[in-house]
Amino acid sequence: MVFRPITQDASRLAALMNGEVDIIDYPPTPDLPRLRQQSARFTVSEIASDRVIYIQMSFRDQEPFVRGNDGQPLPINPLRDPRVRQAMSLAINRDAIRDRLMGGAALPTGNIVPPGFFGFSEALRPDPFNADRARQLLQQAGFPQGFRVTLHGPNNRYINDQQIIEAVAQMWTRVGIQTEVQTMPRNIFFTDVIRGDALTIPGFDVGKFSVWLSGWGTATGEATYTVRGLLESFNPEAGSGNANWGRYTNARVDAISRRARVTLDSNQRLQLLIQASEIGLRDHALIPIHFQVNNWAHRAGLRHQPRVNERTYAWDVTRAR
Amino acid sequence: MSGTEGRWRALAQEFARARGAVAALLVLGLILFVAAAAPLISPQDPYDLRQLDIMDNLQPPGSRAFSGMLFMLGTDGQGRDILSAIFYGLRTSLLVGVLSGTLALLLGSVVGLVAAQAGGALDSLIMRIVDLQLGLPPILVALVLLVVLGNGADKIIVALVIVQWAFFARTVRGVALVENARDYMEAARSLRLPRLRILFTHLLPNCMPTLLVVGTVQVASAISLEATLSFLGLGLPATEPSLGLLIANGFRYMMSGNWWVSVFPGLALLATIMSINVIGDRLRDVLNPRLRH
Amino acid sequence: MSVFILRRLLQSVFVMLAMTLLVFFGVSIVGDPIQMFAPQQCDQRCVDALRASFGLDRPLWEQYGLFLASALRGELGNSFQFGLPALQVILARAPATLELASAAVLLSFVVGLPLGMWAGLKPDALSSRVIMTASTVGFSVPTFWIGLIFIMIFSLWLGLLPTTGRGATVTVLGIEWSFLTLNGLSHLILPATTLALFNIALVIRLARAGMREVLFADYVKFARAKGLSEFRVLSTHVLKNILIPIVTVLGIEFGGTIAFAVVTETIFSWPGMGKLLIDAIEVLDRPLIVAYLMLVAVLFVVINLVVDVIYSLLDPRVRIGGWR
Repeated sequence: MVFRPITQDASRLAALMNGEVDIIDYPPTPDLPRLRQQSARFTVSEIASDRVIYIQMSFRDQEPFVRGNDGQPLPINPLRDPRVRQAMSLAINRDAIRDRLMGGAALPTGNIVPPGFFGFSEALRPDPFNADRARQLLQQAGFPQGFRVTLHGPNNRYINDQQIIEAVAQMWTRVGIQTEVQTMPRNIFFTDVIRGDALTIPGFDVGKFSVWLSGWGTATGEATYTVRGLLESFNPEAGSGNANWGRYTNARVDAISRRARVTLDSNQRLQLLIQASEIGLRDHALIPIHFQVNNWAHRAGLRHQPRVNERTYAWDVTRAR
Repeated sequence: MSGTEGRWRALAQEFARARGAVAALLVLGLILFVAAAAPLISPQDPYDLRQLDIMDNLQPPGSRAFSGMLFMLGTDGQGRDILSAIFYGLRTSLLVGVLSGTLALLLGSVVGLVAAQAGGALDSLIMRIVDLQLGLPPILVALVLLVVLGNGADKIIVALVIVQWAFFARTVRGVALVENARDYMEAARSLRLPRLRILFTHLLPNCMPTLLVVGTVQVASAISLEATLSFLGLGLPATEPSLGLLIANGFRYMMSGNWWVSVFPGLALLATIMSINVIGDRLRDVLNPRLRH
Repeated sequence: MSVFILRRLLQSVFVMLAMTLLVFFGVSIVGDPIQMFAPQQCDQRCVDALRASFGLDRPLWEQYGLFLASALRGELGNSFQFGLPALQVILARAPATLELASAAVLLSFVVGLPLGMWAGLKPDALSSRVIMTASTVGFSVPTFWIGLIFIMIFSLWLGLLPTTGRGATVTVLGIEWSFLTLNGLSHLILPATTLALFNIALVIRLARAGMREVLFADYVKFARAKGLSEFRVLSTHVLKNILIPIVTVLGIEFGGTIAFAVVTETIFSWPGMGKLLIDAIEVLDRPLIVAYLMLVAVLFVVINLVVDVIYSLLDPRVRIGGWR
């Protein structure tokens, strides 16, 4: 049993196709259709991941990476206006991202926990793509000419993260929000985006970015931890909002989330979690894009049991009859 | 100055006798024109995100966009027209290559001249530094510099200048030493002509041929090095891709049969570098008849 | 001769020292590694402890002094990523790079020398012109692109050769070498050829130029007049004399080839130290970057010394030691 790290997507796929390896994880998404076609030689196993990919933003009065079209700082932070946030969500064509970038391996969503998980809301649908409506909303919010923004993100953490960021930049620019892209390796990115946590690294109480792409996997199977981490206000002593790097705060969401945490009755807790999610996400605390679909590709003659937590274990692979 | 004019004309005629070199000159001329006129002749502005549509991504050469525009060389993963991206990418490559080459030439020439004129301990010290610099592999120097300086077009130019200046310094110093010993320099000095005047009217023109040859080769390798750095991810931003980055991005699509994303930018890069090298070769042959075969 | 070697050794030490200074202080400027690698839950006390454990709380000069002292002992700090001694990590991967670079240099000899000699013998023949044009292409083509094209043609379209990685290895003298197995060779061909192209072009040009110069020399005419066969003339007299500049250049280029292997290793996922460097640069693993640069500096100094010695052996004029 040999584990061979091959970081280059293309090389990894080539190794499988040449028979040098038996199974690979994260086959490059552009090649999924072709792999599926060659069903005599290869099998693609897939499973929807618990990891949601989303856009998060920061709500300070002055944002370093949000500027007017002339390059000057704006009197108010447009990201604080829920209409602007909604416009940003409507401008994203999630289906196009799924089809053209992810090779079909994505589940566009408006939720932060995957379907079937405890806390998933049927009422929350992914925002439909509507560029005209987005422009309308921007106009209503007082930004008929749009504004400028820099979108940050990691380039080696999530599936096609770099490409998704570039695509979102493209889509936002089309509705008037001129977007620049800056990506970096994950350790640098997460250090910089987390720096807003004043208590772990004092002196750095200013988060570096204004708008960024990130991901969250609900490993616990239920939404309590997710809602607390992403939607509740940042409060290190209480231990809440540890992934709320944009410092979104909504008193109603906080109240409901806190109540949910102490509610033992499952049904009641479920309702509370759904409620908290719906309030926060309708307010666009963050903009979910999709759930990743994890793929593995292996040669025919094997059988692989895919895992929701994205791990690859040797014992998940067996010989097919 | 008619003597010099006549000399240049004779050189040009000699140059034109090799058909390969003339062809290279034409190719380079075309590339320069394309790069300069890129905003006017490109079907699309590949740096303007408004003009890109992800629905058009990975279209093969010859296909059309939803809007009807023809993608002569296909599109990349973001829907960028490859032909336009090549035009703009050539622009960046040539700018970076020529600018860094020119700056390195200026810097290196000054250092070389100073070393030759000063002589003695200063000359020794400078040449030690030049030797040290020349012994270091360019790619490593550039990598470390970019790690320290960060990304961006200006940082790359700085890195390339630092990589190249030593070649010019050594060349100019060599020529200057030879020329300094010549009779006419002796004569000029005995006439008490001002040093700078001697430099500009006598020394520099004699350095020109060698500088020209070294310069062309340097520009070619600067362009190649910039593309390599971009390929490794240490270059210009992702939304203004240079040729190296285009090729790097294209790699991931190559396996699924979308070969055009990597192949065409590479051919453009190859044509540029090769034409410059052929011209440089011919210049060397013409200007140093002793070495010609 | 010994004075010559001694002088070169002293120069080498000076060069090494200069390198350590440049490398250490250059890489120190780049960002605080503690911020990069400290886990999320690290509070101030934890950060301070981490900083002290890496020795990063001392003044820079002191850090440099400690670095030099331990470098002389052979310890270059622990890699931030792996937690293992940086030198150990690099040395584990060095044989792969050396194998690749050696194969490339060997190829450039084996391919370039005969082609260059032919082009020098019959400079006006069509074949010679083709060879010289090919050498210009080899000179100009960007290594990373031609590597991709090779993969595309030979691995994807023709399916003849594997794309990535190193093949099966055989352990000789405690080190793993892959060229001793057929599978290993098949993995070695594409990356070695890609890396060798530039050197092949160089050797072709040098060989051709050397041929042109030597073929009309007096001693060759003399040998021919003596009635020696053309083959004998070529192999004994001509070859030896054109080898001098070629060996020198290749020797110097060997170091450059090792350095440039970073690109080839990245494309072919060849597990050498070049790829290690690129990855280390991405995550700013300072000890690993420093260890790599130090190792390469040592290699360069050694190679240059060896080349100088060989050169002086081949060219008796230099043995006097005064020809600098």
